[in-house]
Amino acid sequence: MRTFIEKGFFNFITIATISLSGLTVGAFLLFIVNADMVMASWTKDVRIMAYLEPDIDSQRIDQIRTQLQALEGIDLVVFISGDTALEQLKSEMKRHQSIFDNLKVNPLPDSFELHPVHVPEHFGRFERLARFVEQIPEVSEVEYGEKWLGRIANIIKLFKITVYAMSALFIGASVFFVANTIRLVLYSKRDEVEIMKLVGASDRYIKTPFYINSLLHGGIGGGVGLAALYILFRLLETSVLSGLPANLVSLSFLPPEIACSIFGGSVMVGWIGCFLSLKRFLK
Amino acid sequence: MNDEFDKKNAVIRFFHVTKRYGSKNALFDITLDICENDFVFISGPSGAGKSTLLKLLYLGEPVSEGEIIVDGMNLKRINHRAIPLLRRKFGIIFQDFKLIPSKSAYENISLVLEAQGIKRSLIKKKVRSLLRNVGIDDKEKCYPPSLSGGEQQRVALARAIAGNPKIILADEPTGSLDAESAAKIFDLLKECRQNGATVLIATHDTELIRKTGGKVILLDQGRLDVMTVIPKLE
Repeated sequence: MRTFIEKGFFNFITIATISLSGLTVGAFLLFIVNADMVMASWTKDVRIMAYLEPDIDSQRIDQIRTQLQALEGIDLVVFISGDTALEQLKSEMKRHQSIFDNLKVNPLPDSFELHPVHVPEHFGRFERLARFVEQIPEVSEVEYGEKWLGRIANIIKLFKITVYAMSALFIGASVFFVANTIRLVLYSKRDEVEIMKLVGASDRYIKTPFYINSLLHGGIGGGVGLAALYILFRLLETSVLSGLPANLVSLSFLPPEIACSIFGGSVMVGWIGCFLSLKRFLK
Repeated sequence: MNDEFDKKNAVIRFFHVTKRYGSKNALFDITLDICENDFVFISGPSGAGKSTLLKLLYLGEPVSEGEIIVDGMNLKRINHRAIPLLRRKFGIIFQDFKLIPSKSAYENISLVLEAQGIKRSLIKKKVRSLLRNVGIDDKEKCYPPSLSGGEQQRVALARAIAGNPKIILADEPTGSLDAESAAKIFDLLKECRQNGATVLIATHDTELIRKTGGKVILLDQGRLDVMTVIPKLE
């Protein structure tokens, strides 16, 4: 413990490095977690609309319904006749009744509203389902307004890959930095270590305090990084998001298992850094 | 060769040992036995190879040629992990003391016992008793830089005997001490021998050898010159 206090500067630098990398990796993961949540909530209400050609008899409509219901990944198929659609439109546009007064023929086609089964992050299937429905001859047009979700999902996917690569880079840099800091401490204590060896101290006896030191560095660094991330998250939540409608975006902090992983990862960074420098030094 | 050295219960055996630093021989073709409970002086002028001979024993330096056996352990075939075990057979008093300046006298001594995995409560008792024996029990909390040469030497001696070693190696243990402190250190080393340890002292102080008496290995330019027994001067 005295070693820990004596080497204040080295301790500070090591803990600061681990904290910073924990904070950065944590921030990336926080973004991913929240982006996934937002995407999941947005994709929950995705509907595929299949508009039919005019004048299809009811028997054929039933056949199409059966065909659509048999599709994998479809939870519910609702038939909306042109008349029903017009009534709905009228009720939604009560202030513009004059538009409808001049209508002599209902311009709205019969349609099917398909409710896909909710599978977060699986956006490609909307497109596949839409393409399949398009192949039915009586279907004139297929639409799913959330096409842009797929694009966002792809951007998030790309971002995730970047995040994982950058996290690996940050962790690697931290390990390198910690290992070098410990090496500096070891060099400053090399006479002491040499004397310990000469009086019969085993490598394990010599190594143990350094490992304890490094695990403490990792633990404190991880804890400080997570605490800083939590404070920043709360500040962001209260200041930036306070002006936005509550139901538009809701953010949440890292789930406990990810927070624990970051903490555990920080401890591991300390341990690996120590392992590498001791291995080289005591060789 | 003197018969005194040809005993069967040798605790240290040198077989044609040569130590080279580059192309220079620090020790050349040394063959000798040192028996259990011997009190041996390794003497010779500066650069004769006294300190090198001691270093080879605790693997402070590797042997270039030949073999050394210490208490049944062949140093040439020793496993890396067994080196601490070999070193625990020795209590070493270094010429420059080799005390850790950032640790107190107490901590410097307790280090040896901690490294052997002895319980803290026992360490406390043992270190205090050692400090009393070497006459510096009032310096327990002092750090080496604040101690005199004689006091540092006593801490070094206390550390050397802390682990009840089988062999004590002392490299010029009285080199920087006044006559009174030197005599006290020698008395303590003799006491160690009485308690069963084998004591090897590297010194160029022939006056001291004559006063004390004992077995002497005389080295000259790395070669074994004489092995003899000098009687104590009355």
